[in-house]
Amino acid sequence: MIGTGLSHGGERGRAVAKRLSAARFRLLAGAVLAAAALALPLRAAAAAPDPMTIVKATVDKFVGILTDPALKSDVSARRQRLKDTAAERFDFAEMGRSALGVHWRDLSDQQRKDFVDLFTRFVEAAYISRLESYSGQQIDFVKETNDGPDYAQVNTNVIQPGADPIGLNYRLKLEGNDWKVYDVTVDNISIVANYRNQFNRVINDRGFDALMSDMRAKQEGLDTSIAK
Amino acid sequence: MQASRTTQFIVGIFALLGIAALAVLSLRLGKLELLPAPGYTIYANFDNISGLKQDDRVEIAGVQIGKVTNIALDRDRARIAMRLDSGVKVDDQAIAAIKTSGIIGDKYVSIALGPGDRDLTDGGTLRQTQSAFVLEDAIGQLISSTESGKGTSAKEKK
Repeated sequence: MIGTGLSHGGERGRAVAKRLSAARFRLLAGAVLAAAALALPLRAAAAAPDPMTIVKATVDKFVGILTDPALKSDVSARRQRLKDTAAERFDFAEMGRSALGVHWRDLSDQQRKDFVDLFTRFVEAAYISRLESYSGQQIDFVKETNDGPDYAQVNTNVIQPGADPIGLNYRLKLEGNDWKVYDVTVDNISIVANYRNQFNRVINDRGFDALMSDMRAKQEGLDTSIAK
Repeated sequence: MQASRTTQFIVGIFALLGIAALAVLSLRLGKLELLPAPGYTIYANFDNISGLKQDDRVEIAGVQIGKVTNIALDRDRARIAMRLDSGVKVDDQAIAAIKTSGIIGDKYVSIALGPGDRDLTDGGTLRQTQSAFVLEDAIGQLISSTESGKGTSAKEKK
């Protein structure tokens, strides 16, 4: 039947068919080009800046706050600025969740929220005094490694006069369009892994509530000592 | 007197049984695995596996759940393959750490389970790892920190 149709149309049929397919081809080509033209700039705008740049910007912010003469006298304002800068880049919720390891699965939503709040305050208290002892050491940005499109690590060295440099590495995860730090390693020892071992021991021996009260006591003790 | 067919047959069976028993015994003693045990393989990349060997234990909470089946180089990192028992679930946020049994004992891989939404399947890779503790590095750091400590106290005395 198809054969009959073609032979029926003959020369005129074939000419029409040719014109139609040429027009369709042009339409298709135009559509493809338009789509490509639209897609290209969108992809470029959507690409997140690279992790190294982001970490460098955060470290520069920290150094800026720590060396700002105007803030030297106002300890609480400086601390708040440090905490705000940390909150921008460090995903404390993810760090806390990872630090609890397998025990996270057993917690209720309220326990999880309470833990993350306490963990954030605890880590801030633990590291604020270390940040404040920064005395102008040079920080070298050594390299960036990528582990697939969503994970990266930025390696830095903190140069200490008269001692070996400290290797400070940041592990980042792409969340939405922003890179967030989910772990920090100091001389290749992961802070999250360290907490996971400690918390695991406490929870197995004495339970989650004991961990919370231990952390609360530690954090309050730290806050009191650094307030002096 | 020539042995009957039946006798020869029975002797043959016993001989085969004896050879089979020898084969099983030597395989067991040699710890060869002809038939792969049921289980699955996962991978982990480390900066330093110093001292870890093939067949070293993989543990969770001190209980052996597998062993190291392959060690290879992936650019500038070490990539190890671990064969885990089939019933064991390891989530993708577990941390694999290389530890030493005692102070100068064998190395083993200790896995600390994570909050894991997803469990690893055959061929999966653990992203977070903790490299081997290298005694020489720690001693080096101790020496350099003691020296800088000495320097400071010397200045303070002046």
